[in-house]
Amino acid sequence: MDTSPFYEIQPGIIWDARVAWDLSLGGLGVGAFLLAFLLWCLADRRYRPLAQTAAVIAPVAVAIGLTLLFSKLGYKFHVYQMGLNFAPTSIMWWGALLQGAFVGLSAIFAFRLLFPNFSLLDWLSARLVGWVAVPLAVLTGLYHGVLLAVISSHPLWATGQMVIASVLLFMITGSAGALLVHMIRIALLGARSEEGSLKDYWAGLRPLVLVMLVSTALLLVTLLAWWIDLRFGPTRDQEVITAVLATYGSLITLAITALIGALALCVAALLAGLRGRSLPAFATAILCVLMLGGGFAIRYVAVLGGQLNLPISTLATLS
Amino acid sequence: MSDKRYAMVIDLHRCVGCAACDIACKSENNVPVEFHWSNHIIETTGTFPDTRYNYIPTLCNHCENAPCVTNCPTTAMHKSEDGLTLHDPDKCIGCRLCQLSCPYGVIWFNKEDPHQNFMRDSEPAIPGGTSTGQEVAQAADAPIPYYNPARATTYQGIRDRGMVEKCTFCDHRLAVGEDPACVIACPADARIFGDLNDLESPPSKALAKYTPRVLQRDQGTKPHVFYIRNFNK
Amino acid sequence: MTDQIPTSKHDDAWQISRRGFLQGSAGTVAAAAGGPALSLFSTASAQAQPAEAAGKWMPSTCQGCTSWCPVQIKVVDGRAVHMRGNPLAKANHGKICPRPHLALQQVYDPDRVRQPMKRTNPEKGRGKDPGFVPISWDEAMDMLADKIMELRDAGEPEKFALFRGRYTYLRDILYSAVPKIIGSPNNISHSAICAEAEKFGPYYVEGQWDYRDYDLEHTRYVLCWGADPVSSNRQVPHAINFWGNMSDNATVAVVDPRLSATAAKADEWLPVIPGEDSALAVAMAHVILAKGVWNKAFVGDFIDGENRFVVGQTVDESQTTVPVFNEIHTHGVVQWWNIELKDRTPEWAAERTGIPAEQIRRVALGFAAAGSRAISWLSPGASMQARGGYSSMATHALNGLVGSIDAKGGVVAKVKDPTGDIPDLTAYQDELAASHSKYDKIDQRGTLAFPSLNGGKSGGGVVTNAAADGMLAKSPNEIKVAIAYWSNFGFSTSGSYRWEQALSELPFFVHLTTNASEMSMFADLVLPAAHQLFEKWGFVKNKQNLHSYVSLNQRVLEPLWDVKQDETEVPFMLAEKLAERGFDNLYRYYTEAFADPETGAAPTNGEEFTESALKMLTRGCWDSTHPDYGRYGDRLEGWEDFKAKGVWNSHRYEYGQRIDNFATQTGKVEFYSETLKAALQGHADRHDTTVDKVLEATNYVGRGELAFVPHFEPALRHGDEAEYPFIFFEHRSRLNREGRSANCTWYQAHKNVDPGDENWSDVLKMNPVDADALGLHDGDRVKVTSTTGSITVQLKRWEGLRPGTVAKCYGQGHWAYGRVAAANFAEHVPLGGNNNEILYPEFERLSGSTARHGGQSRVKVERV
Repeated sequence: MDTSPFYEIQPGIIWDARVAWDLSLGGLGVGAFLLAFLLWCLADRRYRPLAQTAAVIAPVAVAIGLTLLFSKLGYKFHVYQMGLNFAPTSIMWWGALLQGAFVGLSAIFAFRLLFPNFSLLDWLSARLVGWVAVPLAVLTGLYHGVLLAVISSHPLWATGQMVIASVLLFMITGSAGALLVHMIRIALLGARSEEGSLKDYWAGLRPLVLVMLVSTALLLVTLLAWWIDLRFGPTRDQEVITAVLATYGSLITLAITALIGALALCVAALLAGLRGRSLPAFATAILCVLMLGGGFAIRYVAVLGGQLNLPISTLATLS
Repeated sequence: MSDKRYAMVIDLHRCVGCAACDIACKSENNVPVEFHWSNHIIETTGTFPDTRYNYIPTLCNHCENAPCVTNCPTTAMHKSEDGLTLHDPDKCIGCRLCQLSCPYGVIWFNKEDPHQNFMRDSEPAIPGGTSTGQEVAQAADAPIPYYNPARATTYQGIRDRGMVEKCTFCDHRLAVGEDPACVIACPADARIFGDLNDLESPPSKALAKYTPRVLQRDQGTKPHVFYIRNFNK
Repeated sequence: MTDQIPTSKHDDAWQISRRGFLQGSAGTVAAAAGGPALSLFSTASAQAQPAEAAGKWMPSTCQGCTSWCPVQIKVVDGRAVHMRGNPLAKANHGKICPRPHLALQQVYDPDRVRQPMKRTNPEKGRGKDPGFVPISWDEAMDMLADKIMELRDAGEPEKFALFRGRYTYLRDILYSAVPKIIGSPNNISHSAICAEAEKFGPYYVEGQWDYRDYDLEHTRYVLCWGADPVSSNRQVPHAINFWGNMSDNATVAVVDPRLSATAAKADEWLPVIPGEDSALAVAMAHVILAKGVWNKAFVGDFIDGENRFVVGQTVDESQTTVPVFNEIHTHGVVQWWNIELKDRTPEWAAERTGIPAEQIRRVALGFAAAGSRAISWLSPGASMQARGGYSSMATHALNGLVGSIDAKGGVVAKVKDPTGDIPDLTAYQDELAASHSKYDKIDQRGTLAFPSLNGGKSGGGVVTNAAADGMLAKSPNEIKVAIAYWSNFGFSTSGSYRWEQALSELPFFVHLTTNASEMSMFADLVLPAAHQLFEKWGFVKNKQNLHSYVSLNQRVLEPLWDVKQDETEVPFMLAEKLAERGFDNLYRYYTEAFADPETGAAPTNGEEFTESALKMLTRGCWDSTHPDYGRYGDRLEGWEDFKAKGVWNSHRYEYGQRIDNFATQTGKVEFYSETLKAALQGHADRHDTTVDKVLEATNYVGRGELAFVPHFEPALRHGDEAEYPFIFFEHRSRLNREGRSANCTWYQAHKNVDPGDENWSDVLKMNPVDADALGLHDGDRVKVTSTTGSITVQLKRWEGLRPGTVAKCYGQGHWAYGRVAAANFAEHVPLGGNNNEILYPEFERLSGSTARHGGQSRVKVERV
């Protein structure tokens, strides 16, 4: 028996890889900002250069992501309409406001960190701007998940895991991204005098590694929960997860392998730290790359895979 | 403030699955051939000789709780006071979030310039003997030769590249006291259209007489397109 | 305003102007960019006001199928923009099916022929570029007139032929007058590729060589024989509109090898093995008689009331001089039983038809239980078969058994209309024409193997598809000059390769057509025809919903291109050209015999001629001085009123007026057809042979008395089962405008409304059981080969047909016609495949019909 309902809807992916890039870069940006702010508030002065790097990454990454998103708009000249119209039920409208504000504030924050002696408008201090931007950053990070999670017609998206994964992803990729860029900066420009020896430097960042380790582990658990929810959910959920695994199975395997690898390196780093040693720089770099790559792959699969195979069997359900 | 609540009831027992609605809609609304504001789901089930064929006509459900409206970042997609779900191209940024949000697949996006078969067709089958699409449009003095200007009284006559578009329950026809084109075009009189706030209206009566169903009730969208009876026996 | 035509794909002016149009700000954009092409569409502003956009609804007629519905076109600024039914029509009561909407894409089809073209490549054949170049009408008609004069001058005008496909009832101005006045017998219509076998049965049962009408409003049982009334078959929108209410009150049973749209909604689907319909029909008749449930008020009864129709037993009438059966309105029921029915049990039929005996019994009894409110709905599917003459009779005879012929809720006929015929033309035939136009026709009608018994007369009807064989054999004579209009026999005839060959050999061929179709590719001249719905004057007559009607084809648009009306303007131009060459008979006929009925003025040009001819032939509808005015229906108030309303409606049909007055030999409904007996005997006498020999020559297996009763005939198939394992059958599309709509994108984009079909494709449907055995999947490209030819199409697995059969819709597989219908127009590559390339050129010879149905060709299916 061949049974397949047919319903011609617009073919093709509606939100393409550019959206995955936007969400990834956005997550990286807010994650980097939070790292910068925490380092700036809590950590020793020698971590200031890392904080600077992270602070610069934040507005740049989010802005690049937004630009990619903008490039995807069908009718770009109307983008100002988001500002003219009050659309409080739209997560995307809130997201535009949040991200717009965040880019501005995080840019000022980065400026203050880079040029602490610049005196114009000095009431816009790093502290003030930072404290205002922190909730924005968290909300933006949440937004990257909620945007898709409210689309109830797409079973892969309409899950709590979508939001949780989004938060965990910004924590992982923000840190990994900032570290990686900073390592590149050091490699290219040399370390700042106040940074001290690299060995000590890494040892001092143990809490960060711990955060990355826990987040990665939680992310893997979230992915598992995501799969369970769909696999054992209603028919349409099962159809979607089957389609996603069929299409993106190898990419998902790769992503999970990368994350597990990163997890292992985190453990290795912590164990090394306990023995007073530290990971070689290239291993740290690999760790960061694995996290960024794995994180992006998850975003990519979530965005594109979520649009696969709108379940027509339930679409045709009359009740 | 209008007190209307427009709705459509589709009597599947009367429907014969001929798609006159689909084609008339394209003609009335200048819809590109690739798009189906008025559409259908078909399904063959069972094993020979116990085979069943089913046909469900679809269109924008003009949901009371429309996710495309909820999620639109510019209010381009909005509810009219008559309960229609309408799209304002002046506000549309082409983000396609409405398309993603709609559980029914009834929103279409103009990736390219619409009506390429007339707008972009420049090589004739037989030079000198037959025409190009552009020449026909030119000779007819319209962007597509069968262009219906009535559509442009309440919406873009032809929607721009970069815009989404969808069924409007033919709001331009409602504005001049006519039923939607698909309702008129249905040779089976399977489409019952009117105002649900009027308890004596044909759709109100049909909903009272039969058990109405909607597509994907669990989505909580509260559609204004209802289905009664069955396509097959 | 339209001084610049953007031609390049990247023409900026075009894009800017288009955008301006879309935005409704053409003025500002034009001002800003300052190009002359920018105000192209200033007449149709996007800020259109409702009043301007309202346009005007103008009446015409849709001839997309043979329902011929009165329709209206919304015309805005001289453009057609939308379609609806004519609300004044009682036949389709303001409803239209999908087809009229598609017509918008036909009239504005870029691939229409826009100007006369002549061939520059003398070599003719499929795949050869004709090298068409545009010429003027004047030059084209000069060429044609010269060729006709050559024939006349050589004293061989019979070598002229005129082929007609679809038509309006102005047809005889071209079809009849031109060949007859020139002096040729060879006017060949398409009727025999259409449905003549469908008329054969009703004629020899109740004396009507015509299609029937059906009282859907009052019926209680509809038994469709291959008929798919909600998709096709002569009253589509009316049937669609009544079907829902009807099936609330009636049982619907559909005999069709395919799960058709009607079958999908039916109570009973009987997926008969193709070609075995007659077995099913006689088994149902057997059940009705054996169970004693025939309509006794109509047929009569055994005198003593005892049912002597006992399975396997002959009713013995020899014992007594008094008849045992008192037959009332029918003739020969006992003979039918004795000669054919007594052994035709449902169990016997189940073996042949694949339909369970129980279902046969259930349907037969349900049908009979509806009494006279039952319809046995015959269609081409069950009759246009190699041995379909008798299935046509058998299926229609069921109506006789239940007394539904001419009954409320049953099968009825047309109401008279007051239209007329063209004036007598014999006075305009010179001696050459008078004698040569009586020569034998090219289509072989009346030869031993082609009785073609239209109206009971040997050779009474056309054998369209045999004309190609006649041309190839140059028998009875060669054809040197031919005109074909509104037809495409190179596509629409089974064994279409024979037409390709015959047309390749034809020295001078003129194709009068809207699109450069398959037939055009063999033409020396291609003449652009006006579109029937929008650009042409004419009238049709038909019946639906118990009303006959006359509907006008009207020119509601000024054509965009240099097209002419095929049935009037073109012959008038030809008449003028012939007169210039010293032969003015046709011109005199047209101008003298077709004076305007109101003013008496003689027409001076093609347009005047068209109008005066149309007025003349329809006068009874609108002219109060006409003797038939108001007699049969509407009293229209003059010609202008007719044009404004577009339709004349008859009174409603009155039941029962024909009973005992049927046009059969006995005046009764004949189960034993004395009418057919006389016709067959007449044909046998003509050839000095016996009826049995006639049956042998016409491929029938029945002999003796069987010839005169509806009886079972086994399906005829071409191809050995071992080599060609599948029975191929075809069906119609609810979107087909008689095979002319495949070039419309709307057709392609909605093709899946034919159950089992796919959009933008032309699929071969195969049961998944067979597909699994062959390892075939959806979308696989497969080569379908019969003994006749092969086509390559996509495969579709579908449960809507029986294992062992494969099916494909007719209408696609064009290798010409246009750039949508053909995959590659220039290279003659079809989109899909034309069924007629794999269907054997088989005939139902008693009616002259082309036997396209009944699974006449076996095929093999291979993955490409």
